[in-house]
Amino acid sequence: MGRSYFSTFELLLLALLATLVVAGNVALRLPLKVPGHSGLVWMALLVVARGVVPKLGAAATVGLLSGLLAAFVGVGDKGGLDTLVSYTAAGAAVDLVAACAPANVLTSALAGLAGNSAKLGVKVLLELWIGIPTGFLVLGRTFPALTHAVFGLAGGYLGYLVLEALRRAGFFVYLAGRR
Amino acid sequence: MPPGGLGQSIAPDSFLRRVDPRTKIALSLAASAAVGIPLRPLAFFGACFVGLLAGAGLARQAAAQLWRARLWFAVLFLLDWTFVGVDFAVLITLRLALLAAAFILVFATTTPDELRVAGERLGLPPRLAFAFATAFRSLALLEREWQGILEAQKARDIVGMQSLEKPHWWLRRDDFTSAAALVVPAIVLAAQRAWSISEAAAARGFESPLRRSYRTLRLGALDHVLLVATVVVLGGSILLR
Repeated sequence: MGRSYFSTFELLLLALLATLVVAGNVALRLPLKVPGHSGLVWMALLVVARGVVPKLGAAATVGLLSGLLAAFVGVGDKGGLDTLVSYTAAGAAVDLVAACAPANVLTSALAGLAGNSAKLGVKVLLELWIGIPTGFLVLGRTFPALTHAVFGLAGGYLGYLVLEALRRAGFFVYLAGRR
Repeated sequence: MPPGGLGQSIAPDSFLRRVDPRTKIALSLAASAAVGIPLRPLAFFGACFVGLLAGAGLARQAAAQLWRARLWFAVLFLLDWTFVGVDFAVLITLRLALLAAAFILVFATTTPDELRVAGERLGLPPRLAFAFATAFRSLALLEREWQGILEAQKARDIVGMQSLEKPHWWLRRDDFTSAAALVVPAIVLAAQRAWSISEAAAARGFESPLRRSYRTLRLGALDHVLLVATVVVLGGSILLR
């Protein structure tokens, strides 16, 4: 087998982070009564995934794998396609933003914002595709768009805090010996 | 859902269990594509799809899926009915229901291992397919571990843990400290587990250039029938759109 882009360890780490995304969405529901609040832990994990495996595609891989897992266990109320595409889009958006600038608190927060907004964007696109009038969508999705942006920013910031905590704890030295 | 209860709800007796996962993916995609057709043919297709779900023993899963989105369906139906008309409300509801239920054909009748093999046959890198299967197997375990971390942080009276339990309307500083206190140990545990699995896989020759899958897929007669139906649905969707 030739040398691949991600090592087996990196892929398995990304896969287990994808598992944490799905388990977190089910088991760790913060009691916030606001749409998009699941993005707090979700986007943090995507930003962390991009931080611990600093390669383009790391967060998208977590998004794809978590989307598949979520579709299998039946997470999400609008079916497998919506779940798979929205999870993947969130990961891809985090990846794209993280690839544009060096990792810092602002980039991490913006990556979270992009990820959570991409998740909502996919839902809106699917709703447009099935023919829901644009006016209804504007009416129904304006407040969620705002809260998704805020929780995305917060999730990205949390991801940055977690990465810093991991760095202080020597986690990256531990990882360096295992790539 | 109890802690560690995360898992797949599969229909073991469904005739779709004998169908190749690639066929089921094609059929689900074709069903999703059919959401663009007008009301009458959509109603006919919807009735056929319900028949297929019932025949495959998937009615319970489909009903559970639609029940989860009941509020969304109800609000949208009322809005469409009030502002556009009853035909439009029925059309949009049918489309949403079809889109929500289409992939039940795949996810309620295919095990992750079967999907892994199908993914490899469809060109997915074997490492990625292996990673997916590993992720699925670890789901209940990591959920339990995360619950364990939560209990441990509560027992140590970590500042802000109460913010995970009391309903509130906005983010507070405690939410960040509580979430970070949960996420950091979870990531360390995940990394340790990933290292153990990658070592075990390497020891069993996972990285060997001579590695071959012991499981192969072959399309049977039922697959061919369903693939013809897929082509008909796709063709009809394009012509009637």
